[in-house]
Amino acid sequence: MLSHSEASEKFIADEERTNWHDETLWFVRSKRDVASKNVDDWERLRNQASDIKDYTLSNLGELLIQFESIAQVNGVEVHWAKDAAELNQIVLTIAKEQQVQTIVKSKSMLTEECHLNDFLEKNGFDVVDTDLGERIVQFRNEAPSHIVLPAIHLKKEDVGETFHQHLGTPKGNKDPQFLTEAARQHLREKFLSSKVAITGVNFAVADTGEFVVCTNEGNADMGAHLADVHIACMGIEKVIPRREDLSVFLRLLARSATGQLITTYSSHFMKPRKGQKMHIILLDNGRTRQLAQDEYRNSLKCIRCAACFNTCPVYRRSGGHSYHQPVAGPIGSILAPNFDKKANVDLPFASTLCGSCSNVCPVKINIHEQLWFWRQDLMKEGLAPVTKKMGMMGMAWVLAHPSVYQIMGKLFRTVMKFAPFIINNGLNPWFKQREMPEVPKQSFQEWVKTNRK
Amino acid sequence: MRVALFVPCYIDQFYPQVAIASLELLEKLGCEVVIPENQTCCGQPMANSGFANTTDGCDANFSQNFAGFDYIVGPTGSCILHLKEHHPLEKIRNSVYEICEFMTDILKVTSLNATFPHKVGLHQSCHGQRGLGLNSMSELNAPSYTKVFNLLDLVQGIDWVYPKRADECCGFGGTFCVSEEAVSVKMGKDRIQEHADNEIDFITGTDTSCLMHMEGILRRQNSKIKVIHIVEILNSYA
Amino acid sequence: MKSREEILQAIKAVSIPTHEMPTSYLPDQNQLNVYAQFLSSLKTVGAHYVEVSNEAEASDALNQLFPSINRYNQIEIVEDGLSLAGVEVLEIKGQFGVAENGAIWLDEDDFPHRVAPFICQHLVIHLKSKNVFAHMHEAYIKLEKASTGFGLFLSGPSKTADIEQSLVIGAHGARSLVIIIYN
Repeated sequence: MLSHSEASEKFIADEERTNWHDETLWFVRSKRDVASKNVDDWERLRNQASDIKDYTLSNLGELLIQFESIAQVNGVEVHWAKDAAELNQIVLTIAKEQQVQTIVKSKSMLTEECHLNDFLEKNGFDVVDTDLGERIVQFRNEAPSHIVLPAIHLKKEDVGETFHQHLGTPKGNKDPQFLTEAARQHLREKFLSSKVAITGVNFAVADTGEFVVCTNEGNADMGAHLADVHIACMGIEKVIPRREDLSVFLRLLARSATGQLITTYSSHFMKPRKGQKMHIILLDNGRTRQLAQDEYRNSLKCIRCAACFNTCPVYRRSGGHSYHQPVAGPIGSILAPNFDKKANVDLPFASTLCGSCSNVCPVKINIHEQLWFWRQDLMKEGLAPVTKKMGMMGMAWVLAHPSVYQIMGKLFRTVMKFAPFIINNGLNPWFKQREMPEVPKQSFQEWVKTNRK
Repeated sequence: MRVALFVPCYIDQFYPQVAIASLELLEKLGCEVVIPENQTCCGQPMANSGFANTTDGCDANFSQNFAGFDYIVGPTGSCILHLKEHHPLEKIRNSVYEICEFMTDILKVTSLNATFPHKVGLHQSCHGQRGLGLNSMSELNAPSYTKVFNLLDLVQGIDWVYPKRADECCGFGGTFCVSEEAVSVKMGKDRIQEHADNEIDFITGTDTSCLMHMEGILRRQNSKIKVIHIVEILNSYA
Repeated sequence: MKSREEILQAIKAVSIPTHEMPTSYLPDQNQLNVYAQFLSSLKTVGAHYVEVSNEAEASDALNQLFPSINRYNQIEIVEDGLSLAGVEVLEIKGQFGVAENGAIWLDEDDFPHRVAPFICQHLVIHLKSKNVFAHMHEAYIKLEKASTGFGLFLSGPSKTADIEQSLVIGAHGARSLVIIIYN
């Protein structure tokens, strides 16, 4: 598995494509800006959303119990899964009862986190991802590179080629309208013939027991309303206290994600359809561990809008796949280490800490600060390469001793002046694409001694 | 007004002209400037790399050098932000100022005897902007303001312009500049291109770290564009 | 259930500072003409609308928009959603609209089957012009006590931009949306 910096280097090697990827995502950020500036009380809304989520996290147990009891009265079957394996098993058990071959699934990053598709496929099911972007990457055997725009890393030619291979569309046809129509026909067949549907959950409302699923395509609804069994999967942090709180989140979500006023469909599921079984699975999978950490608790406020991805100058120039796990970008970099510190040690460092992400976050997660905290924790765990640790401790020592600092500074400048090749070579990563700074005659302190004493 | 001049380590070693300009400017504005001679660094390079637990010695050295000053002023947004957020002593945290912030908020400068007849591209360094609030941020639905570039309006002959993406990061990011070299340089190149599109002669900003990174790329490209710290512009005279 | 207890225990074991339940959100009082804003939002989200005074006018307008095409406007419950798969144009009632985003609240009691507004090729919603709120906050005050088994905010026709950010109207749900607004 490549680290973020290794993967990014490969990504950037195709500079033209990187420019295209960067501009496409910046465009989405710009649309978000227009939408947010058209809402006079935008910053007040963000504060309210953040406060609602703070309240939720500090009353999580009570809210989940309240949600469960009302949902149950409404006829929804509520399951609790402590980890991915358990969630997968619950879904499998339910699906097996139905004696079906095909399962349709709408977008759910949580099911990516659990590798649910792989698991179901190993157990003989055909899982059809029905969101257009997800279907495209599914055909290509790739992971989504963005949590809202799964195929953003692909050009229309790539999609055309994929659909030619899998749907028999004419070779070379890259017209988005034509390709979308082909996908509509293909997926409509699946909707009309599937009896088991899996969806994600955008919000679960404690005081009504309902849950809300937001899409532009209508795929979650086409799947769920024709299915005999609807299985909704959610992280425990997705619960919110009151139905009225939905007003705040639905005003923020689509504007933050794509600059739209609201998604085409914001579907409120309260009771199963007559004759239908509705299940909801509440998943922990490390969320209680994140909850327990003061520095990282806030990351659980996330509503998965991806505004942070679109604004991140690093994400735009490295692509989602460089983050080597399901949720990329800034939020992914503060969630992932909680799952596996060693595998994700590079992610909090894939950032300049510019802070733009925290500013666009509709629920005011202090993403850039959490990146900084993760750096401390991961290094304390001993996950730094030995050279880095030694280098840092050396630097700290030098900078704590002024006379050593002055000597080292002078030495470095002298080497740079008289034997620059020692510094300016292939071993110096700075020098690969940049000139080193010019060497001044004196350091400032030396100048002071000469001119001001 | 008695002011201690804080000189970031890389300015001390590689860009002394920025510290000299800061000194001269503050003196011109009527400050008594003290330069602690055993200062080294604010501790940020270690802290941002995940080694904040190694900076005790560095922090102690800073405390020793800057104890007893109400105003610790430096030509840097990034280091000042780090000190403000992480230095162990409250007195230090409450006494640090980036130099433009100091000129605007404390000295309330309304005129300068400065001339800089060139076209200049404005670079907003992230930590100063978003961390210290030196300039308004494009992401927020809030009134726009600047505590930095307003000072350029006091300079004769200058023509300034923001790049298209007014506050995107340049890609320096501390050790990021080498640990994620490809992304860092790509970000820097893109920044420079946007400035070049405006046909400017100089790129200026509050942080030499950003400028050093962009200058490295500009010189490798054999570009005619130069970088200059904003205090050098504010301190310039005909 | 074992996992339920484990999860609730794990949550309970965490000591979190208390936060107050935020008071209900009060949106900015804007001076805008709510109805005009609604029409503007409908345009933005890709919905067509026709303003009419009575059902006869509505019928004329729809005959013109969908010439020689059967329209389905029964609300009797249909057991099998698949039987609606062939519906070209579905007509249903909308409860109210929201000016800031062109969304209309639909209640399952107003259509023959939950899948109806999604499975049809084209959707027509009948809405009274006086039933429009400025923001989502007012909308949810209206919905406070509603306990419908399924409802949704629907804003515009189905759409996607998943292929290189090119907006395509008509994804899996209805390809177009027409609002008949009764003055």
